[in-house]
Amino acid sequence: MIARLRKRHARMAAALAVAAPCVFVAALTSRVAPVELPNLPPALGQAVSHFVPAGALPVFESALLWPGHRLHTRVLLSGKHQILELTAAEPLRAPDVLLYASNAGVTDAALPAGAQLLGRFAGSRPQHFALGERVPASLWLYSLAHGEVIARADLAGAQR
Amino acid sequence: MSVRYQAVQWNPQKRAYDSVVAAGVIGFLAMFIGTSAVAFPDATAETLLIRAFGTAAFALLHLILCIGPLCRLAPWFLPLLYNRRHLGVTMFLLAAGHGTLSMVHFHALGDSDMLASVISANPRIDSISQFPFQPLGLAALAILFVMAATSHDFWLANLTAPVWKALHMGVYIAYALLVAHVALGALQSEPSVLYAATLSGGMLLVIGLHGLAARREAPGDHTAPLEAEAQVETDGFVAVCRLDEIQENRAHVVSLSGERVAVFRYGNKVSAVSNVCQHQNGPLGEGRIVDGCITCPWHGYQYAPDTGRSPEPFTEQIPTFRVRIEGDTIYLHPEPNPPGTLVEPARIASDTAPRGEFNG
Repeated sequence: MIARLRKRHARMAAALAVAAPCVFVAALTSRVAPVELPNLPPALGQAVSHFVPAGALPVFESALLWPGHRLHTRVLLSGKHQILELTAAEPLRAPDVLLYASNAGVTDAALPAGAQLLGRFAGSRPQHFALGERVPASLWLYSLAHGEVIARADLAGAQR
Repeated sequence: MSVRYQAVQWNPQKRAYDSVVAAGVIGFLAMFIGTSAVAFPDATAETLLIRAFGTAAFALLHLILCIGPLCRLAPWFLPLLYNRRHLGVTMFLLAAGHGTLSMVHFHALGDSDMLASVISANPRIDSISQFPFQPLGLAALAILFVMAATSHDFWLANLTAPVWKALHMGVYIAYALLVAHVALGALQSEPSVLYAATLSGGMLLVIGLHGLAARREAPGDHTAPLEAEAQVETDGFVAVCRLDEIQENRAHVVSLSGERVAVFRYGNKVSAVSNVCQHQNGPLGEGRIVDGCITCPWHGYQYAPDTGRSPEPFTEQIPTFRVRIEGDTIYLHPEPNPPGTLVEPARIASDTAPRGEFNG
């Protein structure tokens, strides 16, 4: 290589030797530990279940409602209103999970048309969802990121 | 070398080189995807492919950056240098695969253009841990694209070797951008010390080898003429070395007028030419004389030692230098002749035995 290029090459390599470790160290020291859902601040955790009225009574309870998943399901009654309480005994291995309710049964693998979105489901704390006055026939967990149903529960069949 | 345009000038060495590269890349991808699928059973196929392509490209870039200094430190790495450009194009294709899959996976479903989304989706330039690392990867990919697109000898011949080499030094900018891309991206979400250790190890290897090679090379630019005869002769010739410092069919490299000159000894003759090969500016003085021609150690380009011209039908030419011998000392005139100028070789007196191959 000619002398002028050798000098430029040396300058670039020297700049790299300084810049790359600096960026690496800065990135490493600025790393933020990922937040795990079970470690959410208590205030946030309480806010999730805040709407459950005192004195709501359990009318149905099952740990076997969701085949293949360890989910604990309770239906509470408060006056005329039904409240669904769902707790994951182990984390769901899917991103962006949404909970749907449907008056249709679980005959089909796909999310039924007209299924009603109850809300987002994540973490291992009990989460509560308002069902209205009527208990739906089925519950569905749907991963928005993967675009697929990951679990379904035959609530009507279990209550019979 | 070739006198006319050819897409790839295939030969057995290139075929062997590319076969090893292809097998290595496929093996790496298969091993990475297989291991990752076992270690991370929840990872989707897209995620595995994105990680595999990105890791393979970055690992290959480390290898490419290490080849240059390794060849300066030990000549037996020269076969790796021979077809390094194919390695570079392979690396670009892997990086392009990583970039394309990432863009489709993370940016295709929005309401803006994918490229615009990569550049503008994350505005957190005020935060190190949340810094938009994807545009850094995109910028590196753009540099690697320019390098891959101009890697052919067609561009080397038309841009000229100095411009081409200056352009291809962009690889250092691309590497710095990719270190930032990985450190500010994957390392932010992967707490395992293994990832950080792997990146820092690769970085230290590249920087360390360049440092060692630079240290080895530095004296070459300050090679002083022989101390005893350092004074410039009245006719401008400078003493550069003794005859016994040059092995038969080899060269001694000296620095004259700010450039390196290769002084070759062959038979009972001595000739001096520029140390810079016309093709890729390879170090001719580290080559040897084969079939009567100076042969570049990088890609085998050849030049006649007395004229600096490539044998017919090739047209490459390098500058020559006037040379003479007094006693056992070789003198050079520091002013280079125009490329391809015939200079009568200096003759060695018959009682001066060559050192090296024929020295018993």
